[in-house]
Amino acid sequence: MSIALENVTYVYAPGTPWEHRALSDVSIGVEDGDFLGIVGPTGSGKSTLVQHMNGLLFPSEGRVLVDGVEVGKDRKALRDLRRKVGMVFQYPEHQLFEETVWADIAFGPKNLELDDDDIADRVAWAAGAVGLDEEILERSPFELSGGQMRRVAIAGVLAMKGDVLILDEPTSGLDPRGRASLVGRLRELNRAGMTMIMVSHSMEDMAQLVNRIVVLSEGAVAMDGSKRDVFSRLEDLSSLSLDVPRVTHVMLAMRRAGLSVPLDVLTVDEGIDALAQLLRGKDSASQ
Amino acid sequence: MLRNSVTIGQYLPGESLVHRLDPRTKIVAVLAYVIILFMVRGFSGYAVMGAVTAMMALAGKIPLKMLVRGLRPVLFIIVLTVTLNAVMTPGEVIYSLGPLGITREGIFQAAIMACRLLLLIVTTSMLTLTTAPIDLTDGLEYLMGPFRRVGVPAHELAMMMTIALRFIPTLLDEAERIMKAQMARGADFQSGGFVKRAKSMVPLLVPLFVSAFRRADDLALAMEARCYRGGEGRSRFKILRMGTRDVAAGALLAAGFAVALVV
Repeated sequence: MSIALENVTYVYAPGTPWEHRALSDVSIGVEDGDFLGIVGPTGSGKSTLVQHMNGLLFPSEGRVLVDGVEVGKDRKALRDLRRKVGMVFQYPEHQLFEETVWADIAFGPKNLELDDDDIADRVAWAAGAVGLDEEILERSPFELSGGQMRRVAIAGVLAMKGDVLILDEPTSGLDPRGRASLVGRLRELNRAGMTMIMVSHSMEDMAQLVNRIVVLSEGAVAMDGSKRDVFSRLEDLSSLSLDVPRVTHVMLAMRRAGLSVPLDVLTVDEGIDALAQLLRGKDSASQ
Repeated sequence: MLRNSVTIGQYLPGESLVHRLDPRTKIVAVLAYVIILFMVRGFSGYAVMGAVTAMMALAGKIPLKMLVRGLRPVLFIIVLTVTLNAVMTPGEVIYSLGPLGITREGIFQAAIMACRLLLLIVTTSMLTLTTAPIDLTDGLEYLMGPFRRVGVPAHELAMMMTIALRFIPTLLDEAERIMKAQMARGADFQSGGFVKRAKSMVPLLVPLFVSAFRRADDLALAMEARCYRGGEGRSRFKILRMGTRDVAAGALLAAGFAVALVV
């Protein structure tokens, strides 16, 4: 499923003293099966941008196309759109409300008016997809740990079985293990064919997950390219108070120290390979 | 956005003459205005009161649009009051609608009520529009000070109001976020009858209450961590002082009120 934003401008509270231009002339395309990352400093319009993709906000100017159809305000079309494009907000665990985890995950499917067997299937699938144990399903969501609550909330969106999943800062506030496990689950979902769009401040998450990155600055697209292209522009990123993954910094420092390492290294695994190659090269030189 | 549709207690930052007045002057002035408004008889008095309000709005550089926006939520009450007064007041019937009759006295009464309500709402909303919430509660605390001796917890009341005002926009934003999140899961807050709509509020209200309690807990802890223990012996960073401005404004208003009562 593809999403295209064409010259989208969005103005908050027009005609009041609080008027604020959050997006100006943004054009972005997301292809079927993509994993798009959106980065940018605080207040650069990231959350506003993604809310256009499932009709929670409508552009002041320009248009949004989902599978070639323009997003409009027709209620039925919007319901269909929101079913297809799932949205996980920042701190999604704050939206939990049901008595049991099972019931909370089932909230979306119930709104779709599916029959009971279908609902049960979807809850089981969604809980499995985020790695929740079956025994947790009967507990109250309010007695779980933060990481577990986050997964329940994401499962609640997954259970809508959309084609696209939008995630706003999905790993923020999680401990390293919770983060690693969530990243793994998201990657699997993408490999299984789900189109993903992720907003994040974590360059490590970006390096591990996405294939393309859009950089926003003051509501406009500052960069748009493959993650290797974008992460090769450290100076441009720094000027926007953004960064590259830490491994990339290590490689840059080694290069400055005169070692011949590649600079497009983004993840720890790639870094290990690069170092192994460097050491092997040294061995063969000294023999 | 949700928070822009709620104008009660909204502050419009500015540097106008009215903005710079001592909050106590403004609170007492509005209080006096409301009392006078209910003492005034006849339309010429209301015209004078209207002129006083217009002068305040001009001096405070408040756009007319903001004042009109503040009226929107109470429009229903005004219409209801006017209709009831027009129909229910006994007197000479000039137009009858089945069993109901609109009387001459009723129309007069309705017009007076409409003037009163409009001026009341516009003027009181001007107080919050030109006074930062923190100044407002500071002023209230000063004014309630003398009543502490008879057991009024002036500081605690002021602090509660400060916190409540501070969290209105926060909770509105939060409500909007949760609503969007549930809408993304297929929730529908708009359609259906009364029962269905009331039920559809559960996925909004439960998380909202949970988060409000969490915030209250955090805030209480943060205040205690900074040694907050109520008003006893608490010193002030900002001390309110009346100036020539306040005396001049007070005198002008008093003159206006006197004229309104006499005409």
